[in-house]
Amino acid sequence: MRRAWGLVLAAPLAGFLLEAAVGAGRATLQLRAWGTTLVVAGGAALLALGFGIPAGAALAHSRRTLFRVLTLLPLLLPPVLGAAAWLAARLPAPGAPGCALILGCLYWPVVALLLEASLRRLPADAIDAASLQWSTRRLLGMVVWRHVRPALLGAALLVFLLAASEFTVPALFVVPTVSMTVYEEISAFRTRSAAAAALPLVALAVALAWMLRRAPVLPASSPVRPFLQGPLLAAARALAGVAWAATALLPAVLFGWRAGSFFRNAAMNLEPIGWSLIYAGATALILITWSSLGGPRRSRLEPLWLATLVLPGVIAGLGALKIAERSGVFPYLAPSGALFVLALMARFAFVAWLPLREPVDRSQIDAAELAGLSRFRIWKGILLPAMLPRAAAAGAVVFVLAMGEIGPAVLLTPPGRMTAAQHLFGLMHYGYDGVVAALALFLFGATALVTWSAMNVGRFRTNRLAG
Amino acid sequence: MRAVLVGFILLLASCSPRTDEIVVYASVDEVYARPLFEEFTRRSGVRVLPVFDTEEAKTLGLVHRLLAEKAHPQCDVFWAGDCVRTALLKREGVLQPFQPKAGADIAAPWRDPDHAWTGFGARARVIVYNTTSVKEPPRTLSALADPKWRGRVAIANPLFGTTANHFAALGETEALRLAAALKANGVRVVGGNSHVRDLVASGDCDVGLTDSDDVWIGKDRGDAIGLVYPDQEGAGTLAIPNSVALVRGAPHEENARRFIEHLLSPETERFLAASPSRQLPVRPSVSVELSKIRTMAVDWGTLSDSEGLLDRVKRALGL
Amino acid sequence: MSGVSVQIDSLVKRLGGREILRGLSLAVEPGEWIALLGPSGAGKTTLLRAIAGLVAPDAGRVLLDGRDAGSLAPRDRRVGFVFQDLALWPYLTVLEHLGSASSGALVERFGLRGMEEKRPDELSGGERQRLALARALACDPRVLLLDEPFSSLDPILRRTLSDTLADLQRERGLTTLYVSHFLEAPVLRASRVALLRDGRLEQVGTMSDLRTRPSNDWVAAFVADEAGIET
Repeated sequence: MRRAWGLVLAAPLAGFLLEAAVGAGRATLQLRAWGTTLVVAGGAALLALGFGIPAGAALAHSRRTLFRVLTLLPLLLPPVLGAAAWLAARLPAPGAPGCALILGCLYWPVVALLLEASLRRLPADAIDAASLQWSTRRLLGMVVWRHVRPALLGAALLVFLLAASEFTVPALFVVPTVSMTVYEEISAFRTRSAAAAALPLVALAVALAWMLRRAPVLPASSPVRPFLQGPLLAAARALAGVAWAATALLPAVLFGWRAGSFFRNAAMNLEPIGWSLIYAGATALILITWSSLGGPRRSRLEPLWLATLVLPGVIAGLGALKIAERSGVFPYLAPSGALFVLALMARFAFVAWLPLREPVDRSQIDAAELAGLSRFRIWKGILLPAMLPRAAAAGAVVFVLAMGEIGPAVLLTPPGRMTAAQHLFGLMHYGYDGVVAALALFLFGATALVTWSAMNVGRFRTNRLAG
Repeated sequence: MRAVLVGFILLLASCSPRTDEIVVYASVDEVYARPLFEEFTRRSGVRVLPVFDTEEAKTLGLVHRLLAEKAHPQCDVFWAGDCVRTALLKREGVLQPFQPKAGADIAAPWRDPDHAWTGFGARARVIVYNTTSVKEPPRTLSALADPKWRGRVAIANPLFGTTANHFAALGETEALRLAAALKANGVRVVGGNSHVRDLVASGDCDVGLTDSDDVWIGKDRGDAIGLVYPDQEGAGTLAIPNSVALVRGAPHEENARRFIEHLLSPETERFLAASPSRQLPVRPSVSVELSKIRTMAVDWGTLSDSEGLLDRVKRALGL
Repeated sequence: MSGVSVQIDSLVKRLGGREILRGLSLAVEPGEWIALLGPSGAGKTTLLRAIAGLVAPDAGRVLLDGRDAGSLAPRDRRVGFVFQDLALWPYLTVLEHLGSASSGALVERFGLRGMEEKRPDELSGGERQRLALARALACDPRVLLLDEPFSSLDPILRRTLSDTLADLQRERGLTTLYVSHFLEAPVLRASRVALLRDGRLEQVGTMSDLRTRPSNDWVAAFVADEAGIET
């Protein structure tokens, strides 16, 4: 059943590629678009490293949930809000470097969180042993840097992919990236050309997923032995503070200032807010259920799920639409929004899968089976306590990402049930700044609240189960 | 897992069409569409379920959706802010001919000759200028390439929306000539018509090419901007009407026809004319404003097949 | 002789709201080999970490060579430490673990010749253990701290490494504190045994003293239970 669902979640990408094979257009290499993309995505990756490394180090030396929420906020917001903040600040047209700046400011949390996870896998005693012999500088270079290097490389590649496939920011500032080309070709019904433009991104995504297959299991959260102190730690915290202030707090303040009467504006838009909550909630619930059932397992479909995540969202929507139409299930799935939820699930399957694919060492399951425990007791006593915090966090991330997703929404939301994000983008150019800001603030608040709750609920429940 | 699936299936089963509603795919600004939907519901008791496009997706979302749903349409009525997408849908066999009584007095240039769609409430493609810095605004599109406006002209992305329609309407020769001239004059290409207006209003640019409704909205909020209907001595100004069409195989055809009659009523045009967008009624009986403007003669069907030309325009602009 | 005296004065350490060390005092002579024995949770590892400077005491002090070590960073204390889980560096080779200064001699002494470019995951359990020992000696320590270093080895390997360690300790005159929770060869080889329970020192003396003159019933029972397990 789990495998069957896995195939369903890979279907939208397959649908898009199939449409590309039989569709119109030519397979041409978009050199100019790739040149601009290298500037935008490469610049974003560099900036993400610049913010993400000190922030990841600061996170590793702190247990406060607030910093984790501040780190997640820029990542979970729709990128177009970053562009909206740029416009609201009346800054000049950014061009490719400016797009790199905006996207780097949105995606640096990827680097910070992957670096923190890598640092938590670093055995504490290894740092202690090094501190007995070496200076801090040598310790950082010989032990810490060598340990985190693969994680930083993977994070930089992931940021590159996300920035390369992000469409709304380059579209707003008319910067001709590959994602723009994909969009233009789809708009002109040249799906084959669109797929040809997107193929290098798909290949990069598959390569990244292959790297992640060989990555070690993410352990349960364990405290990092502090390896930074004094001026270095202060500097890391200061740089992290700049990142948090500029990319999480400042936009919130900006939108709060422009929101006017937040409650009045929000009250006027309760229906799209409600539908957003329903679609996002259903997506998160079903995805987490799917990814957490069954024992630890990897899947050969991971590269496809990752490709669906990093490619423009409209591809998942278009692929789902075409597959549903060709297979004849469209009339049964579309009117209720089930097709939209399926497209969202395909889009974020990788986000739900990765933290939960191997929550515990295989040997623990083996030992339990040898001891004669039933499958239910293995699940309840061994898997569930390990999975719960991760499931809560992954569910929260899927929820807020789904709430802000616009690509599939345009194509698949049932009539009369548009989402808050769709509504927000539709209003963005009218001068309805108050409503736009209010909706943006709602997304901010929902993101923060859901993330905070997930982190604390997961920890609470785990303690109760362990007790 | 099975319980979740059962729940999912129950969710699917909850949606068969109801007789007291219609589905409208509206590629127009939501703020103007909603009051008209609510008015229709008040009068008829029929609930309108809309699906709107986003600003950036206007060329992509609903058209693809209608094409994909062709065999099993969810939509009853398609309402667009122009005629090009509607003409494309007609070409693809998505629409069915309908001659609404309410549209009988709408002149030929504003309707499809085969009755696939009917136009109403037009916007004009205008030159917007900053009234503080510009005392003598350009009066033709070609004048935008005058060196005195070098680096101070803004237009929206020519691949999408009404800017795409405008370049397509000029014809290949003139469109490519204009694009090259604008590029040589340092034109700034931005994401949308409202951005053009904002750049001019803020003084970052002096002049731009945008839609009339964007200018009126800006003027109402206090922007120091004005508009010119270009080429009044020449080919004329492009006026783009809204278009409404009945979808072939509409699930609620009778209600859909009633809705189209409502949308094509003179009251609707009065409403749109009085709204902040100040859309120009195509009926002289409602307003003579449009008849005072020399408008460009356009074959909307031809414009719906312009992807190749627009690619060349894009390259001429250096995008 | 390169070993120095180690003096623990009324050491108190709390972790997670629990008092792990409760005013523990102990004096170790230069070059002495002393065993720290006790059940799990007695505070043995915490005591070693406090001597190494890896944890800061909440009260009391540690003196190395008669001087208060409180202001000394771990790497300035010249303490060699063999951790219970070895704490090898997964991305460094054998040579990089040992540094350049004394690597040749240590490679020979610990039978790591031919493995210089290997990483820990390419070594067997015994080879990793030898590498951990060699690394502890690479910094030319004055004090050697061993936290149950042989607990996961087979008896033959344990005996071999124990002999190597004893030879080295003798040659260099290292002050050595060896932690264990059962009577094994290195414990029996020690000049004195310090028995810990619940963060307190129950008794310090030779093995014979602990057996023949236990300070209380618990000591008597502990030593009697452990007798005969390994000699």
